[in-house]
Amino acid sequence: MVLRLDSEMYFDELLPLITEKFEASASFFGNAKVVLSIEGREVSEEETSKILNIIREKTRLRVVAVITEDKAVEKIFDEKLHAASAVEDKELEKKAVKYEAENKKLLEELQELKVPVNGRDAEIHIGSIRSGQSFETAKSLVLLGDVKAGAEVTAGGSIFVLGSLHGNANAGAYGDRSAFVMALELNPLQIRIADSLAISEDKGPSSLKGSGLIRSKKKNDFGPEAAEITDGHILIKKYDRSFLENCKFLSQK
Amino acid sequence: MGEVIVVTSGKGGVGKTTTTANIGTGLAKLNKKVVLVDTDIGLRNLDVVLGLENRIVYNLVDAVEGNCKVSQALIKDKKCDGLYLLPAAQTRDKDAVTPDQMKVLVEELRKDFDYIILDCPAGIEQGFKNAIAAADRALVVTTPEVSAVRDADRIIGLLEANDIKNVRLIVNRLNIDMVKHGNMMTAQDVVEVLSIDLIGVVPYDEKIVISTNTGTPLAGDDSIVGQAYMNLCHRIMGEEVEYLDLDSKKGFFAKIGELFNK
Repeated sequence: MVLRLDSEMYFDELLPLITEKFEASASFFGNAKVVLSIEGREVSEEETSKILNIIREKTRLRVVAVITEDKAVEKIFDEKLHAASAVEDKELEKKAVKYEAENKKLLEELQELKVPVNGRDAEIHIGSIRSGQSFETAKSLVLLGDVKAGAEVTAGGSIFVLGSLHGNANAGAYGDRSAFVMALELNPLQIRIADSLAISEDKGPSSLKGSGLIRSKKKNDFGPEAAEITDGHILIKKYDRSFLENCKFLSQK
Repeated sequence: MGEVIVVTSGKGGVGKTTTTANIGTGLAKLNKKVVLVDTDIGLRNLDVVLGLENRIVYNLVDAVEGNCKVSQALIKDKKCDGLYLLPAAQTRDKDAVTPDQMKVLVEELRKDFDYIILDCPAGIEQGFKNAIAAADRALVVTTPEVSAVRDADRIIGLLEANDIKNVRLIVNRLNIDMVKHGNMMTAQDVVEVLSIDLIGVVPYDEKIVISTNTGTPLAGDDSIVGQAYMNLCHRIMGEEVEYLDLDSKKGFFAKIGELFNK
């Protein structure tokens, strides 16, 4: 920022004009950081000081360095400004540390919160989840599509895949052990319910025939099934009226 | 105005380059003006498979950097009229071009060609991003194997996320004998796993290995493979063509028997 001063006028006459100028443009400049260059006449240390005071009072500009025609004055102000900004920086740093600590505390509290999930509250997602993609919700999830192998779905409540589940599903993500995972074709790699994990059968040399990959040689079409925790283990059951009637998750109020 | 098609797969070695070379040859034989662009910078192969590696003077990176005009980098195919190759650079790598540069290059090619086919490198990094940047549609090549199909699913997800909605599947290297013994998925099995529409099935055939080694694509010739590629080209142009019965070992009488049983 160049401040060009008339060389003939008395400095005291210039001061009110300088004040006016900065007052008028204060909002335009905002709180930008600037290097102040004073041109047109030589100014003494005292005069430069007065100008800087005006800028400090009338605007939100942050002057980080001063360049004048007089090198000696320039040096003095450089030092003064550095000292000023060093103090300002220290204040900002203290504030930043304080906010970080508060944030961390908030995050920890959130993680410990066991979010109670109403079994009737569900998010509906339309479309398949492909390998490498994931979908999360705090509520229950109704997915109108497939979950491909290599894809992952996570829900605070239960998961209903109205399609095939070939990937990973994590129900009861916040600790609800009554949550379950249902799919029209339940063929997952892994299922997690709260803190329990179940993995699919290992593949063997003849697995291509038995798996879902070769349609004509598929062992059985089991129809819709659900995985839920019974007696401490994740078990797969037929998803029918009897399941729904006995289901703990859905009888929650 | 030309149509821009990217041939991609995710998995390496499933047949993108071979497919690109044969689609280009087939479309050119159907009197289209086609340019094949090799975007696999640093590991170029399309020139080898077309038998044109001794004719490379300028390449894709030269054109993008302005060292030459695009037309100077194009190589006319030895046999097919209307077929051109824009080779990749071998001494650079995939960071040598950006998606925006690809878009500019492709826009220039659109003016002169009916089809611009981009041979995409394996992977999902910069090379892939460059290749799909200017594409109108995609052909995903996979073999009927679990690992290839997994990668294909990933790629399809990325294509959809990048707003490329016209994505079709090519099942390559289908081995009928293995299918009969229950050791390989059928094309329909792959379609079901990936949930996208099929556009081509190419059988495994030793003739293809010979053709890529000698730089002589076989789209349009008399073999089953040649016909499979030509049918694929017709479908790319929007025509409906029935899929070939790839069971070549069936005798004459067995096929007659089928006619009576229908």
